[in-house]
Amino acid sequence: MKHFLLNTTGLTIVFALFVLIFITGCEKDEDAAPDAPTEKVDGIFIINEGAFLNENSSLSYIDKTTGEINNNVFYEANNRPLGDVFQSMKIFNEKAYMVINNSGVIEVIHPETIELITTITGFTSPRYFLPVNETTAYVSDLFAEKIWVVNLSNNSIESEIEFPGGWSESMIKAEGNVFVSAPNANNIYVIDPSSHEIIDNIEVFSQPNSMVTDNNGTIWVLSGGTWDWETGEQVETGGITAINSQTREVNETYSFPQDGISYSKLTINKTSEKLFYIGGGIWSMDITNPELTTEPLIENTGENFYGLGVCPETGNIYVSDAIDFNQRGKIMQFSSQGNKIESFDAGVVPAGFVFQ
Amino acid sequence: MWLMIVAASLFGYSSPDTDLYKNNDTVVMLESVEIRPEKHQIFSGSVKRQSIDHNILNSSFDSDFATVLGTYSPVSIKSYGPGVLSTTSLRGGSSSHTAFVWNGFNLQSPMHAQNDLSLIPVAFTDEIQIQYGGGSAIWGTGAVGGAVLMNNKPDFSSGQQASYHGSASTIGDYHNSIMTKWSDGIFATSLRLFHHNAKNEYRYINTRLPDNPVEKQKHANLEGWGILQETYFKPNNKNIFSVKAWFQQYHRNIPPTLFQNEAQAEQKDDFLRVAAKWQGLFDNTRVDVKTGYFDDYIHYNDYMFTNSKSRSQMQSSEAEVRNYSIKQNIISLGFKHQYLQADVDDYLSKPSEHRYILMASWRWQNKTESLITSLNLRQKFAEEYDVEPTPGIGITYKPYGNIAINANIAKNYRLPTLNDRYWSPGGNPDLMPESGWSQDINFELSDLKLYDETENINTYFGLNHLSVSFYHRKMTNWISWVPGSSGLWSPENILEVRSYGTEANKTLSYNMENITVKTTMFYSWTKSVYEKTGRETDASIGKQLTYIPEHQAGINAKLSVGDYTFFYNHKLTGKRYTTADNSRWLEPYQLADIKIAYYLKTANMKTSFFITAHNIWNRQYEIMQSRPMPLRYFKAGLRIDYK
Repeated sequence: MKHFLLNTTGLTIVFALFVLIFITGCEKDEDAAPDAPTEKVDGIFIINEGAFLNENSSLSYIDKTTGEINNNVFYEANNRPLGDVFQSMKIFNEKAYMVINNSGVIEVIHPETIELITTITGFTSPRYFLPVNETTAYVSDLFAEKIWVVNLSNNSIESEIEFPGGWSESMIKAEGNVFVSAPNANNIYVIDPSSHEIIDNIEVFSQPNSMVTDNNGTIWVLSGGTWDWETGEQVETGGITAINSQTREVNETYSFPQDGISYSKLTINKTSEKLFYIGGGIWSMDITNPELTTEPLIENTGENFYGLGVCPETGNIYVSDAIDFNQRGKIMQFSSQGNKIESFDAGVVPAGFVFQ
Repeated sequence: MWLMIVAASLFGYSSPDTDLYKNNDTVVMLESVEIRPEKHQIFSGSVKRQSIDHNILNSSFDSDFATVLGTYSPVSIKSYGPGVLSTTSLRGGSSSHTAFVWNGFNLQSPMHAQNDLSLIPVAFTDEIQIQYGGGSAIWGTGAVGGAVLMNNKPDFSSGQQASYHGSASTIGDYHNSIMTKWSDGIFATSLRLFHHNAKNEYRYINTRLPDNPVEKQKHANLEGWGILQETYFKPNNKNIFSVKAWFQQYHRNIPPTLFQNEAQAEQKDDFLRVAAKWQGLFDNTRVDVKTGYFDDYIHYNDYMFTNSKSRSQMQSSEAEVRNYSIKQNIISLGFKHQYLQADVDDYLSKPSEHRYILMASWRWQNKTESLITSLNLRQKFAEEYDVEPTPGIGITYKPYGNIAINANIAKNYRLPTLNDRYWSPGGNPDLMPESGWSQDINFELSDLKLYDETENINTYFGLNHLSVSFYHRKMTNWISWVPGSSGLWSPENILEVRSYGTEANKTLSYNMENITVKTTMFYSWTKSVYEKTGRETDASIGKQLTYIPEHQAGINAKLSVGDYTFFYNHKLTGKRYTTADNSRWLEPYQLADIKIAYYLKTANMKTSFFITAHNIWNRQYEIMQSRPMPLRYFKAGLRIDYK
């Protein structure tokens, strides 16, 4: 006799239960229950960078079950400001690592309660955090010209990797190696995390600022292009580079037109079907049939789009408008087709999203 | 529709024992060699003016302009720390909207249009005047919210004079200055020197750590010195020649913010200021010719990503002819030429510019001097941009001797800075000047004395001064740096700002035998809001500009008993917003200090001893976000005047 769960009826019931759990998705539910849970287990974090030198960065949290948004969760949990320029956040092994670029620290918190566990200090101008194994993480840096190697067991910097590209920015793991973008060097450097040595580099379009991997072993790199500071004109176009993560060869390149627009914040949806990025408006590219579109998915009507995220469950697109970089920004939620759903206020200069 | 409230007030905080020139009060139609009113005193007498009391200047010899203005006036000071960058905001203007005028020369930096008043030593001035309201018709660029005037005056009283001033504080701040003067009635020369060395290891409360510990500031030390030499030559009653040279150097470490673990940034500010003047009197005409050279050097290095040197050189020459022939009228015509050039690491070229300015002024008063009107016109011609003509009109009406009503309407402007135009990346050479009209009205009552019943004239209660003013100003083409589609930030003339408010102050004194009490109370209400920001819907529209407090109030009290004088100052600064949509702010704070002075007079020497307690109530406060200010600290000072 087969187990109850393994026959068709059982499987249907189990499947239905799974569907029910995820049915709330990433929607902000207007029928919010008045007594919202204090534990944050199912929601979206918004990274509010703050205005440079104003020490007004903050962490926002949208609770998926209640639909409530709280723009000051770090301060409320820890009774002190977060720091200056909150650049990025990564949740790993039930801890959230918040990189505070101009305070030179990484705040480690419990993602459910936002309570501070510890602060990792000693960085120069840290940008992104990437765990390379259970006990080690790499931290990229804007000015230090090195990658910091952090020991996650004792939460301290254990060593440094000299970085020939100068500024190290986004990092991903693929095929056991760490790929790091170097915007000023127009290259992606490859580091072997077992030896912390740079083993390869791949040339891409000018100013590579963001990278993602898809389900097919391809690394997608977005480059923003460079401008001549004197004339204010674009001298090199950016583009998207597709790299085979195994061979580390460039599969395909897609060059942006010389349109004076700087592209950034490459994001991929959960099913690895579409890429999204900011370039004035919000653009999308179909991975299954990759080619640059002529029109953006979402037009820019005067906003300063700064942050971009795609909900893994619903595929909805979240975009932030930093307005004048000196006040609270606006978040706009769109369907995956680019239709506006709603908008709401966040903290100062919302720059990114982390989906829990 | 805005009610055009036209107002101006002029008043002085002069103490009875100094003969400060009172504008529009005793203007002489003819000039004598002793009273030589400057152009602004004659033609903008209806503008509200405040002179800092001589007693205050004498006892603040170790201080700087920013500290004195912040204590004794409703001028809003934005300070990054004691002795660190301090700029002013007057009547809701930005820090580039207060002109700094040294002996008639507008020293607003062509590079950044701000004046760091923490660098200006009080020991180097004979007079500090604050001019409230637009003054571009007289001073040119930057006199939008007002102007701070620093004046050196000749002393032709015979003989040799010298003085030494020194002070030391518990935060390791040492200030020494000397002055020597000599005159034989024809020549007068004076030399001043100062040396300032501060460890600035002040205590502050670190509100970023859980138990709010008291910490000691590090990397805030500074050292500076300066020399000011003045020479005057008065061969006869008709002519005065003067040459002044001021050289100064300051090296300051910039202290870390509360979110930084350590700081390495430092800044050097060096300048040379040279001015030469000739004033000649011919029958009914006066001629003024003056020329100046101003060389400013700044080197900022944070040992991380910025190591920048900038140098600007400005040469300025001006001639004015003033005629008194027509009774009850004074007419003036003037011409000014400026040449400036800048050498800044962050520019791609070394810009240089010629500017030409034409000025005309006219003043009329009725026979009883109860009604005075002034009209000033100024037109600047610059190679790189158009400047509209900037007129200013003022009226003073005195119904009775002690009451005055002043009104002003003026057009004011601020030229785009060289940084805004040439900074790489982003500089926009096509920027236009910021400009706008201002209106103000001031009611003033002065010198009322109420004697006691015994008619003992040494005992009285007096209202030295009472003044209430209202102002309004709308500025357009206000420059703001905005991001472009390329991600590059660039300045644009996109903002429109409306500022309006009121200032009130009164000074009372009580005199009895050998006790004098004098109290000044002031209050200002300042609204300065965004009207247009270049974006259709923007949460900052209608909101107060950042770092401009809506409310400020203060008390300056002085009690003299015999040889002792006690000073108490208390200033309240209201909430200051740190984001354009007013979603974040710094809490209001109060700052008070006490000073006790003891004066010892001997034959030809006057020695004064001072003890000061700063921040006597030990309040923790921030003027700029994340920059802690000192808790209570003490200072002892000594001043020796020899005549």
